[in-house]
Amino acid sequence: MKRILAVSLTGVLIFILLLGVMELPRFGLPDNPANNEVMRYYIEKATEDTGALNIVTGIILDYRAFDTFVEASVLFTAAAAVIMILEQNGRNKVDAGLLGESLILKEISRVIIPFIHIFGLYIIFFGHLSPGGGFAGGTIIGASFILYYTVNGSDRSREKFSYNRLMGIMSTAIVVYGVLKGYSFITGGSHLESVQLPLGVPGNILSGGLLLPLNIIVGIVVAITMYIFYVLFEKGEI
Amino acid sequence: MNMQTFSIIMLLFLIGASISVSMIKNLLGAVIVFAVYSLIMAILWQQLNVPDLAITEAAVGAGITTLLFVLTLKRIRGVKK
Amino acid sequence: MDVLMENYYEAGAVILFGIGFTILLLNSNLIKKIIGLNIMDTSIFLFFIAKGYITGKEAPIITGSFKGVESYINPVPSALMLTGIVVAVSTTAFALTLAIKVHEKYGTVELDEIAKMRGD
Repeated sequence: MKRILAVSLTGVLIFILLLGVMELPRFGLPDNPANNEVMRYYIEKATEDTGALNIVTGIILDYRAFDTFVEASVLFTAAAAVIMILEQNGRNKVDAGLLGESLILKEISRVIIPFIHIFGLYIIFFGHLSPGGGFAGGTIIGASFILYYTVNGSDRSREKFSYNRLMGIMSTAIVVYGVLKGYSFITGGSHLESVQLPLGVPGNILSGGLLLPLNIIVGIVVAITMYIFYVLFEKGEI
Repeated sequence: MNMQTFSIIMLLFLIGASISVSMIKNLLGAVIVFAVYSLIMAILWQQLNVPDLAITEAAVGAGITTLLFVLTLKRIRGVKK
Repeated sequence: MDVLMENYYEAGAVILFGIGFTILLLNSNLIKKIIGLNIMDTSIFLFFIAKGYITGKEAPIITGSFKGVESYINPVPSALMLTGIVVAVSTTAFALTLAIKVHEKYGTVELDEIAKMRGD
């Protein structure tokens, strides 16, 4: 009975929404109302204003940098909430991971983890020249941290990734982002400028002003958050 | 086959996968079908010419979300009453 | 009817939204409700990105020389939805944390049995 009711309710909902879809403009025409002069301004002036060749990165880290700051703080809030809810100190026994059991995994992971780091750093550093950016690269580096934890156990990982060090790095990164891009709330009326790195030649890595440091900061926050999620779901303490 | 037929087939596959998530009783099977759903969505992002979102969805959706679901299943079923 | 066949991305996104909503309503298992929530999230991203596509134009990355304004797709919706994907994974992780805590207290994850245990 509940099943029939729920399915018919869904049918009514989908029918009403499809009636709305019939009123939409056609898919993919160049003179849709969504493609107005805002799009033309962004495409024309993105390289001059920001120095980025990837227009999407130029939008999210220069024109709308404050949105990305709030999103990085959403990630930080989720990690803090998960730590608060799931932390159980001292109730789990310490495990040595796969240390005594598998020599193959330890040796292979010691060779593979540097390559994963190089790939993740490549995606972060070339975020303003090719597809990628801070989020995808940060997830890949976080995955390499998870691999290290899985192979080596929790007491060896606690030396390298201790709670104080991870929290210190993540908090410093978010505060630096906020200071670099939120200064105009206080100094906007007095025309005081903050740190302005030179724009450089589009096409080099060291170009685009503050795009490269901000990409690195976002990558650090994402990597540490993914590692914290895994460790707390698996074990209960860092 | 041109790209429009390919996109329509991928969309039908997505709809089929999300219907079968509701009907599979085994929780581990439902999570694996959800990982496939995330990967097909990453292919659709490439068909719409947004490579940034494709890389991010492939790394985050099919990597981190599936991993968290499997870890939750381990903690839920492993503790006997 | 042929409007639906031409706007197939938007129609597919709306159908996926409805199916995700049904999964959220119909199952009493908490894990399946969280899967349904995630399906609803990604269907909305598909709807938004399909509004920014222009046929025949290429991705908004300048390789080589700048080809003029009229040969790239609309970059604004994809820049907005990049934030959304990250917020969706944060929400899913937090919801799974709460599911683990519910299991610790009640011993089960089915909402029918929890309602019986509490005596409602």
